[in-house]
Amino acid sequence: MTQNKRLHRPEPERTKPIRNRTAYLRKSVSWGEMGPDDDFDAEELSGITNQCDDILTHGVNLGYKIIDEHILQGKQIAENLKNRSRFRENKSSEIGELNALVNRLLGLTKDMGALCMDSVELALKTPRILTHGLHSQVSDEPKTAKHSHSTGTQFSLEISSVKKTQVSLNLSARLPASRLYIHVLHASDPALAPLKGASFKHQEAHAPLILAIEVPSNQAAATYTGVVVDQQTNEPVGTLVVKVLS
Amino acid sequence: MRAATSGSSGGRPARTSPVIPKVLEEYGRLTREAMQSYLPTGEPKGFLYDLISDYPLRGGKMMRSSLCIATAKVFGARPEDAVCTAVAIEFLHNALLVHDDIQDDSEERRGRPTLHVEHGLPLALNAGDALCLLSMRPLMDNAKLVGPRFAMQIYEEADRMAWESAEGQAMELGWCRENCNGLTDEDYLTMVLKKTCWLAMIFPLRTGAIIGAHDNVDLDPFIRFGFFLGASFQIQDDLLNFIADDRYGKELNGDLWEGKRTLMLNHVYRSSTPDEQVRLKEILALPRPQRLPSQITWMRAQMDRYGSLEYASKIAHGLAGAALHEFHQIFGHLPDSRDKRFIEGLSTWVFERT
Repeated sequence: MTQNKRLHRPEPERTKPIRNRTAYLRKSVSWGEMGPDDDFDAEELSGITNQCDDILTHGVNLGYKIIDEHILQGKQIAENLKNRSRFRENKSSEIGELNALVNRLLGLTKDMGALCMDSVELALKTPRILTHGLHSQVSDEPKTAKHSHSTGTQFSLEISSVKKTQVSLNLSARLPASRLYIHVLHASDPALAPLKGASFKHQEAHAPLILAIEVPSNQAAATYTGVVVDQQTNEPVGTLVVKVLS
Repeated sequence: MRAATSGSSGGRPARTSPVIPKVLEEYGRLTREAMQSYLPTGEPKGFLYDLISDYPLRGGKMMRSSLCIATAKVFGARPEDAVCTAVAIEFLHNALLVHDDIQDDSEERRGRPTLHVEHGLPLALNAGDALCLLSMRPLMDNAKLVGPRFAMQIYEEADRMAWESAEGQAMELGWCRENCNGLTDEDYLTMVLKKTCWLAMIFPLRTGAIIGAHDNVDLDPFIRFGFFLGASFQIQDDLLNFIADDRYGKELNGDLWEGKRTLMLNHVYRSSTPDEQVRLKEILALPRPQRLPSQITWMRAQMDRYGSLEYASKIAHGLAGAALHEFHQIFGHLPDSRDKRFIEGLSTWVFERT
């Protein structure tokens, strides 16, 4: 009886993972040839591994610490901003609408006032607008220029006043300016002295008509209204309003 | 004050996810085409408009814009929906590069002389300002693409990102001016979070998510993911500065010449003996032109002696791991797609450039 020799696997060159400096740096040409570094004891090996893990852990922990603080700061800033805007919203909901309405009203009044003054200025410069209307003024521009001499539509305004004065002239009839006459202007309060210094002045034929208004220094502050009439027929053709401000 | 660049990939191409260059090429082209329509023409061409289009036309990987488009797409948007935001990102990025180069007095950008070297400081500075202004236009055009509400939200994100970037830049410039030493890793990472991560990662991610998911996603986790990704990216970029490689396109040891407070420089200072610290401080107090090559060589040798590069590399790898973890928190539940793999792949791609 032959006794077969028992087969054995060859002893492995290494029995545990190679965890040393050379393995970490991947400098080994052959794992089998190099094997574990005998000079490198387990304690040192464990120290290096721990150190490596420590750095990684340190980096990641630090990263989470920084970013979580950063997110928290961002949230706090956002919350503060939200609270501030909520406060503004609450405040404005109570008085904001009223303020908005008042502001709109003030704005409209300012716009209307400016519009009125611009209209008066335009009308005084080109009274044809008053007698022919804006449309005809625009469409008949060449004709107006041609006949401006005969119709006497050129106006200038002369105001002599130490007080601030607003003037509004409203003419409804188409008349040569030379036929216009202004009656004495009266205030609504009959006790106040009338304003007598308003008149149309004629100069040379080609010169523009002048609306001259003289406000005495002792004239009371009030709104003075007078009728503009056709001198030939004495029929009213418009009104002149002079507002003397205090 | 250089922000992390998306430099060339090389070294170990086998590990590079094939999806990354494809996505960068596709979305980069889309963004570049859209950028062209915003670049002004006419006069003063030679003094302004040629300068504005200089850096954008030099190339670059378009990583920031691609990240924005990919994120929007992952959440269901079309690439076109995110293109205005992507354009704004690239214009602002280029504007900051122009100003960075002036602040650092850098001589080369993307393989050519920097704008201020070519055209002089005043015109380059003005072109940088104009690029900054130009980035506003596509943000306003967002109203047509994503509606006024989300356009406004993206604008607010841009506002925050711009402030964070300015603060981070100020920190780094201030440290150099005041010769601050012994800075901690926390100081460095806080600076990088602001200077690099917001523009490079957090803003593209968050705006992409707004465009794609509208109100249906929590934006905070994008700050975490963007920070870990951006910080590992910046550290790796700083490490590349010590490697002579034409593909990197920057001056070898340029950060040491500039005295930049990198993770490595802070580490070597903390590890040094008191005498060595005094010497380091004296060298860093000198203006750049007065530093000697022998001093730079000594600082570099000290880093090798104290293992500062290995230290920084480990931190970068740890942060990249955290980025992957955060990626799965945000994108894990979404179906697999090329865009999702692109975003995930960026965590390892940052190390492929060595």
